[in-house]
Amino acid sequence: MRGALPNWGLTKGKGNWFHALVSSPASRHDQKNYIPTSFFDHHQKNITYLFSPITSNKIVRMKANAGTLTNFEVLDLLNSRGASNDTTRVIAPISTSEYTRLHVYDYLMETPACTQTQEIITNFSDQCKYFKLAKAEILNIINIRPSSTVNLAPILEEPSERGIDKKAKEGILKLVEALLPPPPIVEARGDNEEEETEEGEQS
Amino acid sequence: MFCLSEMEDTVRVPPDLLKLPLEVAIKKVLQKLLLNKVLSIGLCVTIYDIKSAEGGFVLPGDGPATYKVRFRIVVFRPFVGEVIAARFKESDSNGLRLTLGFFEDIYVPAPLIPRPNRCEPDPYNRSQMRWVWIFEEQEYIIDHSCQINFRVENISYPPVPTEQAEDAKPFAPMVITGTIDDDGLGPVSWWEGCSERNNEDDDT
Repeated sequence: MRGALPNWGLTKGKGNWFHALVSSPASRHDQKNYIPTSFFDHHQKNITYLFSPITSNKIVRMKANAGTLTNFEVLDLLNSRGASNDTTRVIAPISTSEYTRLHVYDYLMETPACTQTQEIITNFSDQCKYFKLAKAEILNIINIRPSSTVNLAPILEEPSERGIDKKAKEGILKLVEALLPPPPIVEARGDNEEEETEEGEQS
Repeated sequence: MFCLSEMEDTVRVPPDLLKLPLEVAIKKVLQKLLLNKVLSIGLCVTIYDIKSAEGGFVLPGDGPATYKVRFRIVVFRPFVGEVIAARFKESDSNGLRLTLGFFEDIYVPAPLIPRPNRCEPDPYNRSQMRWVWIFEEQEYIIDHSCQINFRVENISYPPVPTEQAEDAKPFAPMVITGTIDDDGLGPVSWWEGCSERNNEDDDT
């Protein structure tokens, strides 16, 4: 059927040019001033059209990466589409296409994203400019909300070589503490006690 | 871990959907086509919007109206180096398997588990192996008691197998390889309460 996709993927790996670009270490050190939801803009200029090598229905990938989204933005989108409406999930069986959406929603509600707002994120990424962090690192910090130096460690790449010393790390953590609301407290699987503390902007 | 992806495709809207507003009908067809499927760009989560739809011709001998649609979708595609919070799913002698609920093919192979470690048969679950990290005389077990933070090392899209043995694992079109061998990674309980100790170290 024209327009049908085999449900296991479009390509056998030959078209993964963007994958190589995205996964290169260089892309993480991009420190130019992009708006928060466009992390890898400089790659897009090289790409206009890409035809899928396998199927004959020619799905054209205009831009594989038209903008990276924080967890909060996706959660917001799902909320606006009514994913939080619990009654539909209980009454009707979940169709395959809803499965992913609802599980993504469930997953995101357990992350710090559920207590964030758009203003908080924009404010935070503006303030982060002072620390000269790569966009990927700011995204990581927003999604994970590290609460201590050790939680921040896997996010920062080569901090000593970039001049990010202990003082800078403490500064980043203070900013996180002040601007990003704490995540909900979720017990180990079984009990989902979400304690949403709306401490918001404490700065 | 989510990206927007802009795509263009030829969409056939079946006649029974044509009574709906065009945008709704096209979205329905796209959802059926793309949602929950792994494309080469990642796992499709939801349709973000439809930028343009042109055409609407009905070809001779064919019922559906054909539209050329430009749209954006939200895909799940983490980048290498992203730190993600996941839950433990199972483990065996090759390593760990983690899950995000909507995505379950995250593997942490044995070399990326912090050393020194050992793998022992799980006393609570006879069919599984359990990994234990040994650090400063203390043993840290990796199990499902809490969230596990891992960093993405690699994402691969294995080719579809033409034949599969009867008892082989279901085919995974997208596989994420992660590492927990770094400060702050692994089960979060390992790092709770050690912020005071770390403040004395100057080399973190």
